[in-house]
Amino acid sequence: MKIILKILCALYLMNILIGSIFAENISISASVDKNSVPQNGQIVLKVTITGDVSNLPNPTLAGMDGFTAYSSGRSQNVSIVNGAVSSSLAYNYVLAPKAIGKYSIGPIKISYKGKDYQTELINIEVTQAEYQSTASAAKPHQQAVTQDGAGQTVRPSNEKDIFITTSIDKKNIFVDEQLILTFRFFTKVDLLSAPGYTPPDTSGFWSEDLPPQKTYLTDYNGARYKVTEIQTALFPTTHGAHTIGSAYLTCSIQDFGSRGDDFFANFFSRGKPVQLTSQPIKVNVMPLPSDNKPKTFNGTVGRYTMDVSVDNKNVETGDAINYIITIQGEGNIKSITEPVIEENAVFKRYDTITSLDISKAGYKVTGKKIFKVVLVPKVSGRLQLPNVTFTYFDTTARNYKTLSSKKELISVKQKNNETTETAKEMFVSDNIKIIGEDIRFIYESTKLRTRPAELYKKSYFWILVIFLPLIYFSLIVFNIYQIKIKSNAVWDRKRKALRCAVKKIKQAEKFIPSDEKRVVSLLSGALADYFSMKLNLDLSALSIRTITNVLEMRLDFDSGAKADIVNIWEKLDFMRFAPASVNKEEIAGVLKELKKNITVWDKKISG
Amino acid sequence: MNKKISCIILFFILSVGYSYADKLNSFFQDANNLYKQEKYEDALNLYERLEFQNKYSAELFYNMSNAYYRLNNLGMAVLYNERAYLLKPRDEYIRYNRKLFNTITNQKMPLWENAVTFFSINELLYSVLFFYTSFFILLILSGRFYPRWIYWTKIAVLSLLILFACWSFVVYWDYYHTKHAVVLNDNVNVYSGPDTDNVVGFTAPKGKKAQIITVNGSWFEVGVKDEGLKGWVEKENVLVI
Repeated sequence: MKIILKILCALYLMNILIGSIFAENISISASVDKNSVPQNGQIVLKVTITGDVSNLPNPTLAGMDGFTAYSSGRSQNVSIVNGAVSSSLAYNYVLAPKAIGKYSIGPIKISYKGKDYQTELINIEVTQAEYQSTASAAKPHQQAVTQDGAGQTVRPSNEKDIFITTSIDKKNIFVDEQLILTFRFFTKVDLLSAPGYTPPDTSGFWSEDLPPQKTYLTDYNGARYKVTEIQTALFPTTHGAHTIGSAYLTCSIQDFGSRGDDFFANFFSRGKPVQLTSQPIKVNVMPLPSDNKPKTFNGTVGRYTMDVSVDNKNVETGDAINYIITIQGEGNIKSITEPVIEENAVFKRYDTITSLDISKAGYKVTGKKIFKVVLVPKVSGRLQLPNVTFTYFDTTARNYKTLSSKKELISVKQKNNETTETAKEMFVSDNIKIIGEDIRFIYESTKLRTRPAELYKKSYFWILVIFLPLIYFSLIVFNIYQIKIKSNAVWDRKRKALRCAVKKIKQAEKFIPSDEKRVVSLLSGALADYFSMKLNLDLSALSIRTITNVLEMRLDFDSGAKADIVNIWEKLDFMRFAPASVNKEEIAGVLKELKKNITVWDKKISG
Repeated sequence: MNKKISCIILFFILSVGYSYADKLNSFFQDANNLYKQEKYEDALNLYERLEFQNKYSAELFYNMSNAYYRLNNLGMAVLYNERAYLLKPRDEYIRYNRKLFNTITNQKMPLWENAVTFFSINELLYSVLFFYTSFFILLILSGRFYPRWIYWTKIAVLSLLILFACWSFVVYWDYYHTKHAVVLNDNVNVYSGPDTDNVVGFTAPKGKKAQIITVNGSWFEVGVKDEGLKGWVEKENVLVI
């Protein structure tokens, strides 16, 4: 029993001894070059794993929230001293911060033969981004770049081997206008690792990659560089000032000289990590002009052509046809809006099917968008397809352009055994069958008239309407007057007395100075006829005494006027019966006097 | 000498007038030729030039209606066909097209319309004028002569005068005093009030005819009698016949 116990103890001690002899010592540590970094800077994280084994495990990065980690190589160191192996692995990472704040990196772990090893947490503070315009603010392993006014980056004067540039082809563009962003990576040294490219933030832009990337050699400042170029098409979605963020590129380059003359150190070195950052680019996006904006404009920007076609021009009613509208050109092809298709009562329209064909040849976005509209004719005949209008803003011409389709006619036959709203299949007789209906043909001739068209708007219509009754009533009045005249002869004679006398006096005037006898006769006749008619006296028995008696009895007649009547009557009697003693002047004087006084007498007699 | 100068001036005026009329007719012929070549827009330009020079005829409006129809503008096609119809309601081509358009736009016409619009307003008014003048002539004659036939003729003429006068008034009231309009755009919203904030009562298709009831600013109150609908529509969506 005691022997067994002694053996067991010896074995236990031997196990401990062997274990202590053959125990594998592994440790992991992590360090950073700085604990505070601006948002556009970077931190170099070095994870070192040491141990006395030859195959050290790889670390697992964890706790990298707030950072984007890029591997920039590893280095290994193995030493064998007196048969004892010791090795160390150094993993280098470049951490680019995502946002401002305080973060903790780690713990970074490794597992080896069932055991876990981890690092301590490392606290990092990310501060506000600093934009330095000169290379002096950059760390040796960081490549800060500047930009000129056109967005071209300028290599710092102290940087010769490797740099990046970002540029745009236009600084002032319209909403949805194509902008080409070009990223170039210049290097004249060999890279020890594939570069990691992080494109810039293009919030506010719709982006389309423009593959393939180009690689070429170029001379710059007397040195030959290998250039890798990546282009992206950007389309701003809103107007205003926009910023294209920084692009990042990480890689490892040969680090000659940093380890001195140690050949083995340089041979086994995995290079120095480099992160390159570009400056953001400001872009001014102008709103589309609102002046003369057509109503049919739906937001498409670029340069386009339109082609309209139909797949079948001879169909029957009820058959579907595909009305194909192709918009082709340069611009944001995906955002091309459907053209305006005129409503047409003779077609039934179904939903539009769209398809895209985008090309990026020549490092710009071109292509076509195809709109397929299904139409079904409702009536038969020769029908015109709906008119199509497409309006876009031409960024080159800087104005709105409207494209319209050409007239396209199709022939639609009436389908057998089918009636439509306007066409009926009718068999009028054995030989006649109605196929379809259409409008009648135009008139070849016409007689053009001048407006107004309606008769009631014309003046002569109303003149006639008003004038006719007036004429009629005038005739009635005249008729009444005629009746009155006929029924009262005395009144009629009285009415006519003055007129007859004046007529005779005028007749007498004509015979002066040729026939005085006649003048006197006419004047006497005029005077006698006047009083005979006016006073209703018998002409055969008329004398001056009779006249004056009547005037005295019937009327309150002026004595002066009576004297005038007597005077003229006696003068005329004298002239009539003693013509030799009368001269022409006396006759003319009597005529004048009679002419003057007769109207006065008439007024006085008439009252 | 004066007479000679007057004759020369008169001849000159007549020549100018004749050549102007000839020029207008040539516009019409040119427009027709363009129509036959299916250049409908160019044909319309010439037709419209005649219209802008205050010229009109039923054939001109009818041809314009056809050109608009070929250009798929059903609203304007209906409008001009209605204008042609008012001038020549018995024209076979115009009536045929009108019937076709009514079928396309699902427009129901009242049964009495064909009878009422058998004569155009001008034909009715000329008839009124004729009977009116005849009546007065007969009145005047009856004052002089008293045969029995004048008496009965007067009664007949007066009856016809009243008939045609009433007929003219009905046509005038229904088609000239009461304005009608044609919807120019498709699916035009007709609101319950003269504002787009009001509820849309119904939509009217292109080519539909409606009666204008009242006007309020840039809005018409319209009614579609055969369907018993009424509402408000913006002026830009319709055109008065």
